[in-house]
Amino acid sequence: MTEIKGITKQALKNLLGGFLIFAFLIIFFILLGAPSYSEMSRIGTLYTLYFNVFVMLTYAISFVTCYLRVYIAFGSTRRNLFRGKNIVALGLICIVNIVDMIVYVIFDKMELTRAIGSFIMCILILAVGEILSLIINKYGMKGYIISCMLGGFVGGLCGAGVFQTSLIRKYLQMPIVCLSIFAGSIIIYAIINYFEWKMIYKYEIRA
Amino acid sequence: MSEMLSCKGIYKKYGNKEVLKGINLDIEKGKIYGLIGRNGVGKTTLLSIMTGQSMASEGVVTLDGEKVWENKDVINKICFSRELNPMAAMGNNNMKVKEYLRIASIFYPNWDFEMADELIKEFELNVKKQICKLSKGMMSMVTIIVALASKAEFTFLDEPVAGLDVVARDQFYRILLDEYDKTGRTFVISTHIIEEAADIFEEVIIMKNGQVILKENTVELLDRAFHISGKAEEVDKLVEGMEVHHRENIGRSKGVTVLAKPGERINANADVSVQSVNLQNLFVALCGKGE
Repeated sequence: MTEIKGITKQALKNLLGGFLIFAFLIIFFILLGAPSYSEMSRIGTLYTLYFNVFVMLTYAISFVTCYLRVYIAFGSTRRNLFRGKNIVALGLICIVNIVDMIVYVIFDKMELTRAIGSFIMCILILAVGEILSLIINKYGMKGYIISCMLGGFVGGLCGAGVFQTSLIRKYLQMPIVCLSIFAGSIIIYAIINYFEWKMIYKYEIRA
Repeated sequence: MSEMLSCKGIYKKYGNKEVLKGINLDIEKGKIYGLIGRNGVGKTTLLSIMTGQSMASEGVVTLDGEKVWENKDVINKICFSRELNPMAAMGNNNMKVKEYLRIASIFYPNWDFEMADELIKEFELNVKKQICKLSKGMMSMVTIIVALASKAEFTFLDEPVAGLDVVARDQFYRILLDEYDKTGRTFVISTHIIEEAADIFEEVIIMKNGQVILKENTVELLDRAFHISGKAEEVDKLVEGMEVHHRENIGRSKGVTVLAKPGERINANADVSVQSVNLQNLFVALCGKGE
């Protein structure tokens, strides 16, 4: 238990860096974009996006690039590592969503489908982070750079409005669609988590 | 029966390359072992598997009959202080020394904070520095601190003196022996600085081509290791039936390194001289390529 506690504490400490980067970026984007926003809720949406991306990705990447090696070198069992990692992941999803909901309540109105939508986003972003951690583990820095380029490409498409967010939002507001996607995201996350477990189990420190 | 860490039929493959080839080895409690072998022979891989940090392709490692792999109760009794890699782009290199040691203290249940502080002072280590900014010797000091302060019953050190200057090496051997005297912990030390460490090894384990070719009490081993030189015919006659490990011919003279049977005596004569061999030369004779 001490070990899992230690892993959790270290991960949270490490996340602080992610929070700080996030905070600076949010302030920057709010100052940059606020005058053109017609509704304050957009700031909330933007905020949510960056909050999720930075926190989740920081966690997932730092886990595999740094702490996995250190913890195993200090004799942690893979099982405890996986447990510790998932405790933090679940904790993160909950914390991020609580903050999201507070933001929604302050800036806009709260809806159940919106809250579930936020959970879906969190789970999927964490899953992306874990895919990234798997790629880094397999291909090292080369994998990381290619992932960043792909991420930039997708981000660019989003920014250019290729994805009809209004349409997605419309469908997500239907409870059945929303719940189905929620279930789907959990299944996707579980599958990726399984691959991550396999990676952790076989992980070896090469001199 | 005393506690024992046992390896049975350990094989390890990386892709098609077989690094370890059926290793059977017992590490008894309360001894200092020296693990020696040439580069790439599989020493670190073996230590990694013995300590549950890597998985064997085949075979099993047990401590008192209990499997080591993924067994926290057993792993708590073991510490493998790995050599820090200054070139690694990822991993612990961005951590400060104090953070690295703090994390270590979480994982070793018997971590001795006092000892860690004393060793930091003894080695005059700047704990506020990042690991990647340390010199090779300082990195070795960090691994030594982790190994000793872990207070693990079975402690494995991989190249602990790499990069250390002669004063620091002397400090390390002194601290190690002092700790051994006080606690009777088991140490397994992998090193290339053989002659210097030979005096502290109670037993020596020699690896060659992914196999353990020799495991013996150091004094007993050196008692039966000889270098015989003289006229070629006389030397050949004298070593007939003996375990010859190294031959060198210089004109009509010949020199061979032999391992006699325990208790066997080799008598020198006017044409042949018999000298004892130190561990380093014996290692070269056993693992070197030349005939």
